[in-house]
Amino acid sequence: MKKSLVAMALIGAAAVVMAMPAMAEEHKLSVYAWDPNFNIPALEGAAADYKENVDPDFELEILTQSGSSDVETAVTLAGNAGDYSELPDIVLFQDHYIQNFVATYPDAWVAIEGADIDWSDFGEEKLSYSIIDGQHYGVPVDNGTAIFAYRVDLLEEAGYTIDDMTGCTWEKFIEVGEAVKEATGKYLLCMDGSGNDLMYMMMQAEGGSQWKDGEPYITENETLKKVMEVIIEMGQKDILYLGNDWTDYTNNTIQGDMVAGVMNGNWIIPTIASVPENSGKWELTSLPTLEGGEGYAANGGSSLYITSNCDNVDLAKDFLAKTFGGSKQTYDYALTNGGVITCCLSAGESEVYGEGIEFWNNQPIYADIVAMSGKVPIIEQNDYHYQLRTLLGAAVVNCINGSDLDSELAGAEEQIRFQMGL
Amino acid sequence: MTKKKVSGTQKRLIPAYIFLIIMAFLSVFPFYWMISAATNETLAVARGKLTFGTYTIENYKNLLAQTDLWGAMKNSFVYATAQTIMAILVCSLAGFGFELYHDKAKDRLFGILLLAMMIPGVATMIPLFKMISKAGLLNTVWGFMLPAVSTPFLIMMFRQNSRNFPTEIMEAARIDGQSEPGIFFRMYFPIMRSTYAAAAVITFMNAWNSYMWPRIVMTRNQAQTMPMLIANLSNGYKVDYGMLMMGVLFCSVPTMVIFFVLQKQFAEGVAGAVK
Repeated sequence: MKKSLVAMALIGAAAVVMAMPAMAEEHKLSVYAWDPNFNIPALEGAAADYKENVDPDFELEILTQSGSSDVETAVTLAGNAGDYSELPDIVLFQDHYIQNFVATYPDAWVAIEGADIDWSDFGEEKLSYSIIDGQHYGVPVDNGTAIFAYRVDLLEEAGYTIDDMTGCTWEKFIEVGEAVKEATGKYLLCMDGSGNDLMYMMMQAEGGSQWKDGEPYITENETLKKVMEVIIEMGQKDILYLGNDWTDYTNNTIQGDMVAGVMNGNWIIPTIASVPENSGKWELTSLPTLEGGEGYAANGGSSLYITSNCDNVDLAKDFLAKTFGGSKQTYDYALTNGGVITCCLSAGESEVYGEGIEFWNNQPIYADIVAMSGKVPIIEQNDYHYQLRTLLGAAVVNCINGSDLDSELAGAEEQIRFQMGL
Repeated sequence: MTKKKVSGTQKRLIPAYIFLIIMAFLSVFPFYWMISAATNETLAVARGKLTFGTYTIENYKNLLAQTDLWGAMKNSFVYATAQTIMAILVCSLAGFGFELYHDKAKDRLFGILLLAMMIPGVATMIPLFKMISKAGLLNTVWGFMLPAVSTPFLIMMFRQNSRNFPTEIMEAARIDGQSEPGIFFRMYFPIMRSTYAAAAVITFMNAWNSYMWPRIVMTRNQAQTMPMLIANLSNGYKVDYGMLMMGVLFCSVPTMVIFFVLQKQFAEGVAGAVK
């Protein structure tokens, strides 16, 4: 009797031990993400939020990658090998690339249809990347809305204020740029010369695109031509500084105090704010436009996507819906610990978002950025975004050095068409 | 007269010395910058400060707080050591066989092996990943090292250096009743030790520094290596250069130690010396 009781107890214990991993797996998700100072704290906050408010047994395994390209490589490799079994449940993916990857590897993804998310609470432009064939595939994480940050102290030295810059024309901007250069010796605009996003953001602020019906729209595009002329004029008048590469742009140009203005996706904020002696001297606003009026654009940003290797799709959908799908707790944590700004409009109304930031002259920049994100126009995107960016960036440099704009644009169009196989 | 001649020779050497000093500076400067950057805060590094700072402890603490430094060091050390041992064993056996049991068929086989050197690694990446994944070896030391255990370069190196191996010793050993594996382990192994040292240094450094393959097969955080850890720190919207350089310093030390310890044997081994 005693022996049989012991045997039964042992069998019972063995059954419990064997069932434990399965039970644990029911509450566990894995995710590929990059940037230990940005996306990863945001995901940690989301995991803690879900664990605290929804599922106390929940566990999120964050598999750190060196950058977005690692995630793209992993999906490419799995897709080409026809074996998705090594992908995690969820991946963080760059907005500009996702359409291409869903089209190329349709079996790698699971649509997020049916998740309890109020999509109307997100900026339409942001969602336009992750809606494919009318279905939602991604839940937005960070907000790529472009900002124009100005050193108000330097503007003042030249006799201007940030109000003069809000909604100004590019013509007026050049006038102010010349005055700032004369008074302070600083450039009013800068960009990474090897990854020049200026024309893309300026075009979006005009509501235009370098693409039309899936094809390059360059030589016939009058808006693009005007935008390019403005950039070239700024380069020739020494108002615009083009760094040699990304490090030159961030380290020497921005942190090295060479400029009075920075225009880029709002993720550039930590770079600007890493110079403590400039605290209180910066403020930010929207972008200038060709005809005047506030311009809105976005550059960069990423969203979370469920892979076909996810065994527990319901849990993944629920996790995304109750965290990045609209939880103020997740977004407040992501902002304070990683500097990740949401594009969930209602989450941007929280107290944390409305706080004035000392470095930014007590401007409530986060609430301002979320408000701007709702106004970014949707423009046509293309998988060849980055290739065209490189070609147009090279055209800008050549034109600043004296080349003819029309022939440079014709050359860029010819090359991108060749790359696209058109 | 003699004095004049010496000074004339010295004068002729001045341009060579200047050239060598410049080259030595170019080689050593990145190391100096790495060490000085590891002692400075990120903004100072970004602004190009070259002198030593006072942020060494902070950078180290930040590195420990943000990463699993010792876990990655342990992984790199275990993987690189295992790969080194396996690779030099397999490749030396192959080189020994190709040279000392020489015939025409083996020559043809060796030719095919050399052709394999011409195939770029990325071309075999997907089939290799598929094989390792199907075999369930992802995130294991086997998955890390198997594709690099037998390399045409090391086999060729052992084969070339085996040409200096005195075959009379093999004959004498056979007469004394030594088996063929016995000849390999008891005769070949000690005589070719400088080649082994050179091969060990090359393999260890390659394994320690390898990035692309581990990034593909080591998908779990617990399995990540030092180069992966550093790559994770070097990309992002806000990079802490001081902490990054502290990580790079940790990553560089083991390969430097191994190289300096085996420097003499490495030089002899590359030259094809036999003891």
